[in-house]
Amino acid sequence: MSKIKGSQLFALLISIRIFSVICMTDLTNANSMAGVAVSTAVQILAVTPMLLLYKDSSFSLKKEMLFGKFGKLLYILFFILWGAVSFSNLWEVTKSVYFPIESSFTGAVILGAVCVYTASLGIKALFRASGLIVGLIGISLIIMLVGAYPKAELTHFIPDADFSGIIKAAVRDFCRSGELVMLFILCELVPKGKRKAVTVFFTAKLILTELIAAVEITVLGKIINISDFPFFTAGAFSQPMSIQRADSVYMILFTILCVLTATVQITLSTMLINELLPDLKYKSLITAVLMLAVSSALNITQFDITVLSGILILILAVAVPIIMYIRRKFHENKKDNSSLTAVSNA
Amino acid sequence: MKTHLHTVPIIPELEKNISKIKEISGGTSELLFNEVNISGIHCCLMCCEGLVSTAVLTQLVIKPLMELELDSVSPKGLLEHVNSNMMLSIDRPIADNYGDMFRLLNSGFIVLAVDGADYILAFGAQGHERRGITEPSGENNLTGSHDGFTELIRTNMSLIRRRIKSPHYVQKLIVTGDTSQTDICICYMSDRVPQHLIDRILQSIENIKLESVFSTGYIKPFLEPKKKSIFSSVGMTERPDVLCSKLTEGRVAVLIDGNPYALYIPKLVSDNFQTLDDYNFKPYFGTFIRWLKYAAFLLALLLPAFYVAVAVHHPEMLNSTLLLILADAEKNAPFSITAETVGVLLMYEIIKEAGIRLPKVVGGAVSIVAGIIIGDSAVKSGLISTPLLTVAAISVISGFVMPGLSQSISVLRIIFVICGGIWGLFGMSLCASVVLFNICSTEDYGFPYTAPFSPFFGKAMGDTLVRTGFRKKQEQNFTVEELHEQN
Amino acid sequence: MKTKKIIAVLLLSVTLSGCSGSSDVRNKAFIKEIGVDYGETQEISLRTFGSDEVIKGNGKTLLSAVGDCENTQSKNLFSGHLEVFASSPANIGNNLLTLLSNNRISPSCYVLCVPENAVSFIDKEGGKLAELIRSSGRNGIILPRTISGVLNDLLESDRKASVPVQKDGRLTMAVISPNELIGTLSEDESKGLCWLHGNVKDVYLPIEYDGNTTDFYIRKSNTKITAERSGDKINITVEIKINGNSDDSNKNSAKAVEEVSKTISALCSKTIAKTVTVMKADLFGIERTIKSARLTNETEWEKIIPLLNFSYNIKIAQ
Repeated sequence: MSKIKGSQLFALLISIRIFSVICMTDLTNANSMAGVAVSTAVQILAVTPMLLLYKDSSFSLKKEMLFGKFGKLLYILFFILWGAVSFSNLWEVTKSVYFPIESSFTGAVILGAVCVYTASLGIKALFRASGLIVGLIGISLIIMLVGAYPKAELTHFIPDADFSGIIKAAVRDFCRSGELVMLFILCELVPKGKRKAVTVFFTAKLILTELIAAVEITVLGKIINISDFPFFTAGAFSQPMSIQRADSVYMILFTILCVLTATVQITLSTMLINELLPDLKYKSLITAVLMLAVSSALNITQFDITVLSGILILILAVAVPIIMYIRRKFHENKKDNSSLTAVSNA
Repeated sequence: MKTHLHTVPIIPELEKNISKIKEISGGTSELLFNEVNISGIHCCLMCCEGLVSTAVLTQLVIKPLMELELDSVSPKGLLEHVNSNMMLSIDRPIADNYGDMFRLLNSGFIVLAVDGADYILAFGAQGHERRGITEPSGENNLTGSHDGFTELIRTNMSLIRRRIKSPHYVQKLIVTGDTSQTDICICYMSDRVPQHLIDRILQSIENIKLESVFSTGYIKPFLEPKKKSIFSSVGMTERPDVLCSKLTEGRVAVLIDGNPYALYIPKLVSDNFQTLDDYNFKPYFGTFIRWLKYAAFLLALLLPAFYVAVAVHHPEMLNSTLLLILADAEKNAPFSITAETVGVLLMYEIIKEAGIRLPKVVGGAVSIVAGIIIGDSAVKSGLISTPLLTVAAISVISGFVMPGLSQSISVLRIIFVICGGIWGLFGMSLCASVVLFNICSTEDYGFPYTAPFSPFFGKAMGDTLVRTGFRKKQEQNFTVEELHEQN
Repeated sequence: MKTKKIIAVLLLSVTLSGCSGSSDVRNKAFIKEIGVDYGETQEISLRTFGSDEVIKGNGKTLLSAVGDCENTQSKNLFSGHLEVFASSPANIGNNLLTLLSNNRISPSCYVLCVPENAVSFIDKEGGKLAELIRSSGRNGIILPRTISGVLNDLLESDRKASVPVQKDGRLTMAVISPNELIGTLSEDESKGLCWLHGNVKDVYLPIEYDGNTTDFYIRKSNTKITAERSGDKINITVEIKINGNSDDSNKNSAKAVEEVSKTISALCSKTIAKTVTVMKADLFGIERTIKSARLTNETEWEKIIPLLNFSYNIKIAQ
């Protein structure tokens, strides 16, 4: 199996997170900012069991997956759902922000085709590309900050957070943190530096989310409440030069991150499908088509996937690792006891 | 490289031997046979006319052999004596089959066959016409050396050896191509390159089943990964100094007889933006030039597409003054901006290709036709707009800054224009994603093409993003082996 | 085979994407100024770059009115470079919302209120409105307001914003709500508004002292509004830092400095009295400042107004 560096894992996860932040519509006040901080702290605790699980170098998720094939199927379904969410985000953004395509569905199909190709290049290409895309994210954020600085008014930020609002925002943020499930699968590919990568990821996730929220709130003021996608609106308002509009540049960032996020889902699904059905052909294509179908269904029915995704994240990223960790410890203790008995009998 | 002739042993009877040689060679005219008696034994001196030095042949081979008088010597004994005691040439290979014999004959060796001996002795006496060492035409520089590789592999080997006198520097000659029997030299530093890499490269070359190898282009596909990639992960250079700097970084070079270009493995994306001149300038200027090249690459690849995307789909990105200039320039053009741009870029490619292929005597006429008639008249007649021509020209000139990437840029540029024209910046982003992932998937013998950018390797950044001074560099001792990804 | 299928999908998408319908820069006319009058329908007139022609149209909504204008044109109208949006006060809030949605126009497009016949105003006096607004702003006469700034103010709790207004052939400032003109400011009150917003620079301020009228050159200035609780009241301090010098030969005259301070304080005071006390408008983000510092539990601006005490601190560095 391909081996990945810790820094590449960080790059991939932060890129996926930034895509989620760009698509967020409710990072609009002190409650949401505080909620993100609380949610990040909870997530750090939540991923501790999976890190403990991987601490043992003999652990192999491929061999020890809970419920065997059924467990893998659950993860496949989650990644298909998360990929569908990426396509849905594209759908929604193209309705509010000008994209030069006749219909959102066509845009999603073209993006899906690109993702099928990029997924076929392998997981190493994915990780290397994420390393370069992090550079693009950095440049875009710098441009945004430079443009936002003269326009930001600190008085737009009103520290009126309340407990229930913070909790709601924290729960919402947790339900959007699908990268925790991806982390559980991807950790297997990272032989060294997992803990450092995860620590840096959560730190960067908190800092960048709060930074983007702060820019949006201080630049947009009350307009944030009527804006469909505050990130794009803040980008439009944060023009570095008054005579020049540069908001279309954020379209480039959005598109590349959307490709990366969808490609990750297709790659991970394909990886797991390969273990279940190795003889199945065109796995990437089938996965992409399923994602598009689910995405279309979500858009047509306007189904809010937040609760469902939250439950799945709780199960797949928290409950499953905990159960596997306990089971592993139990078996280890059993082995130790039986070997002790054998020694004492001898 | 073994052919069926390698399995046919030399016939000891001289007459039959000569007949066999004539039969195999089909009676070719340049093969000369000189039957002589040396110390009373019937012998035959053979060579290819035009490949040997007549002076060496006469003075250093024929004369001493004619003066040789040995008593009661056997045919093999004669050959032994000539080989061990006479030193007629530094290079004295022995061949016991017709395959090796013909390769030696066709490589400019003088071959001595003795009646009764089942092997021949050859003397290196190459003296064919060759091109002198000149400045490389494809890789210019200001402050570096002005010598370049030639078509002769041994000259090229000497050019490298002159620069790297370390005993760890190894040059291994192998032969490939059933028909051409081309000499190929694998060059590497044995203290920096792991043996498994050399073995893999040798295996790749030995797996070549081509009957002729005349150029680097024949070998290159076998050294590159099987997966189709847009950019080549095997580098090419005509400069010995450049190749030596690659060898000292732990790369492996491949020289091909008959071609003045050397290949080196692995090639990294950052190599396209480095020239030897960078290391002769002050570090700050070297860094400035390097960043200019990165910018030139983006301009070459994306500027025409960006122009089309903005003009068609995102005019809000231009300020009103620029927009009015653009609208005014394009208003009379009969074609869509996308078609116009593709047409102009294709025209530039045709002019470039014509410039490479045309005979020198008509060079001036083509310049006049291309530049004045096509460029000026097309704009005046309103077929093409001036801003578009300017954008295309900037893009094409920027592409010349990195000759190693020019092929890929030429094609990708047009694809980007089409994507930008159809889907604007969204299309360009998708196309960029495809190119980015393709580049990231490129790796050769375990070396990722995008290293040291991704996977990130901080130690190597001193020679990619910036040009570190030599005082700092001397402490680093970087080799590409550190970028190797173990599978 | 896989590659061919992907290419086939892409090519199919090209044909389905309807991209052939897109128009490029030569088929677009770029709107420079729009004038909107709201009555039973929206009547608009617009000017485009590179043309003196005024295009008129009407429709139930702003966008349908623009569409109506397109019907008389051979080119598509593109509003991405709109420089000035001149509107009657009626329905101005909704129109600004419509324009800003989908990033149709630049957020730094200027807003100009024309109480009577904006359509006719654009027709007769349009063409260089953006330059006029900018130069008036540079001279400290009016405060140029962009669409984003005006909309932001209209969305605050007081639902009022300041905009430049065309009145009696001159530009001054006015206070509007989403659907009506609340009131117009005098010349001095407009100047005071500029000082309270800050960034007045490179202007000459006429001052009188010792029977002489002279100019004080303002090189640059910076305004900061702070709030602090003092018993039941909230003290609002307007601190204006000025870098400038007197045109008088006696450049270090303390009297000149004192006079500048008095003049600016008087201008600001007039503006505050008119806008805050009379028009009940918060044009300077005072409510936000108070709420950021958590100085009150009141949520309505009109209940906060009686608690406010204003003071002015003018610091001049020469």
